[in-house]
Amino acid sequence: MDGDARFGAVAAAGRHRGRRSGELTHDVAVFTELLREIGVPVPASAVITAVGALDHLRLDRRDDVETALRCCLTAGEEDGRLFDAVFQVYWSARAADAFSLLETSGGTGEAPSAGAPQTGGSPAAAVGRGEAGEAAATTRQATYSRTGRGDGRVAVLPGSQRQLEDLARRMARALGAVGGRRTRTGEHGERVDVRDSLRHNLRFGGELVLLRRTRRVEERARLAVLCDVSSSMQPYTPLFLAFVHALTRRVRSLEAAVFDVECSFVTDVFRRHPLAPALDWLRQHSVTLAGGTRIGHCLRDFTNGLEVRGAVRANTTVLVLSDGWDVGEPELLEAEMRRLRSSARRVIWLDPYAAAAGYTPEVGGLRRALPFVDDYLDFSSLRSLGELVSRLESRA
Amino acid sequence: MPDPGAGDAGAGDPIRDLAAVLAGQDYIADRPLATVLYLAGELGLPVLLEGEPGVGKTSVAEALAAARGARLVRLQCYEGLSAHQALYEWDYARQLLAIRMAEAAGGAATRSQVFGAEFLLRRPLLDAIWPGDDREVLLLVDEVDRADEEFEALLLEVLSQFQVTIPELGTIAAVRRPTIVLTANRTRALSDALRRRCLYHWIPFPTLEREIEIVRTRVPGASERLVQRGCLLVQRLRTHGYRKAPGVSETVDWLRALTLLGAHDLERSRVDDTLGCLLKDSDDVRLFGERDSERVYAEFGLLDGR
Repeated sequence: MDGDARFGAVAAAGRHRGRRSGELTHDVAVFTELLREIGVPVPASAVITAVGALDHLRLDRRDDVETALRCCLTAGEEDGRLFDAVFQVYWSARAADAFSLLETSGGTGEAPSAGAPQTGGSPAAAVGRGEAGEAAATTRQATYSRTGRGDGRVAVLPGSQRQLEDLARRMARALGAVGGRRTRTGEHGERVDVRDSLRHNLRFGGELVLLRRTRRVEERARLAVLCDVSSSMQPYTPLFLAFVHALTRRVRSLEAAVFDVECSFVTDVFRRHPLAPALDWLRQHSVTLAGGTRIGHCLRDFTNGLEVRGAVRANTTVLVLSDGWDVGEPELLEAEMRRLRSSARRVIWLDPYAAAAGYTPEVGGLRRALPFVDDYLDFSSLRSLGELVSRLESRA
Repeated sequence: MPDPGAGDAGAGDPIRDLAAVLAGQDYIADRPLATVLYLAGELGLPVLLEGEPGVGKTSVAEALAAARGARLVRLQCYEGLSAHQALYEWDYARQLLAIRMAEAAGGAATRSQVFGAEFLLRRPLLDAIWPGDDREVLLLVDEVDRADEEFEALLLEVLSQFQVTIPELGTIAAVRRPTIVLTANRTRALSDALRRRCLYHWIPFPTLEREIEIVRTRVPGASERLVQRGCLLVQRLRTHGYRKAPGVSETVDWLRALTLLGAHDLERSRVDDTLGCLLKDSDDVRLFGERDSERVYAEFGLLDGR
């Protein structure tokens, strides 16, 4: 959790504190609302469990109460960290300004409890939430206008569209041949399933009349594509987006996202619309085509998004299309690459400058990321993509 | 850890009692972990333990089972684990035999005879719900994140209703709820449906004091100086960003190895020799040799200790 998010969470905790009534069940419910507001998805059943758990504890043992609420209301390490950030503030016996955090008056409109004086609107709390969002929106607007130059990004390859789609299909197939571990039993298959044959033939009094056979169920390959659209990539952005678009249309179990400063998932848009309208959509929704790059930050959003969509599995191949030029925090980039690598089957990094740099990148961000990449390949033109696909096919 | 309520809590603190019982099984649990385990027992809910490899997720279940005198039923998860291996299976060979014997005796075996409880092979999950004897059961579902989603779905009925449905027999509900412990390493995200049914607890790496206590318990023969300095060195290594940071079990193995070699204090040559107990990745070992070893040895005053 970065500083802004933490600050916002603490501010929200201060606000909800004012709603505490002193009645435990009510206070736990309000605490749950607070957790949901800061992004911890607490199911209703967990609240009931939590209230039940407190019955078994001595309430004067604050650390036990904290542990109990944490284990009932959170379901992951990330959630736990958010919980820790707000627990002390919300359940504090001290006055609110002891945390040098004044409560915002506009919040809930409910009467504050005796211990929590309502001290008028605080600029600090407001900055934590509203204005941060606004600031982000303005940055987006600003970068959006840069992209409005209309330098003919689609026009580069009208003729090669079909070729690109063909390559996308071949690539998906090359990456897709994953033999699953599960088997399915039926009338056909390479092996005889003795157990099921016996069971199946119980209806004939145990005579082996019909043989049942098993075959491996092929798992559909999962792909996750993250495409860099920042300004350093501008010459290649049309080609890359067209490729991602073709891939998205071809492969059903695929999630695609584009990033520069922010990461946005484009799977649905690309799948539903042909290339030109899809790119128009990108432009209209002020997805910043061409801006700076914060790869670590975006990777985090990307992996989080994939996890929410249930798209990170042991058989997921991740494609990153980027030159690795990064202005964000390098530590975050490294940590996020490690996380992505540990959850995916294979991470392939396609760099338009890979061949030019002799496959030994000088760019800081990429050098950080490289230890966690399985294949570092060149993708600067249709021809290099063709070579890449043949290589993947020969290895699969 | 500081114990603010220790004075008045007295003997009536069940959480401390539980921690003490676990300590009797050589497992040193901190207060939050003991609280979660206590609540799981009181509320009758499964516990989902997550943490880095080697922080003692599996051994807490073993210690808990031993402390309660419960039978430990362990299910090791892997990709492709299916209902046959996790829940139950019919003993087809015996069924066939029974049919043949019934034929030989002149009658025909009826369906209800062949699909009876005695023809059922109990796999871990069913065994925990429907044990053969009266003993308490602790079900350990180990590394649940290694299994696939299909298996996770299979678990849900067991975790929330404590029952198993067998089409031929009907639904079998647990007479006595087993204690269920699930462990995971975060190799993939578990489904919300599974998480929702459990109490969740993240086991962090232990603090230096607790790690020293753990090693003292686990390696009784080790010299005090070796234990203290060894644990400090491991805690340092954890901050160096290795691909696989050494867990508590690595610390225990390492100090046991050093004790076995007759060491009473850290020595550079011995540390070099036994580094494989701590770092189990070739890149990490190389990284330690090239980047960190001088700094670490200097800090521990081992540079001229050859």
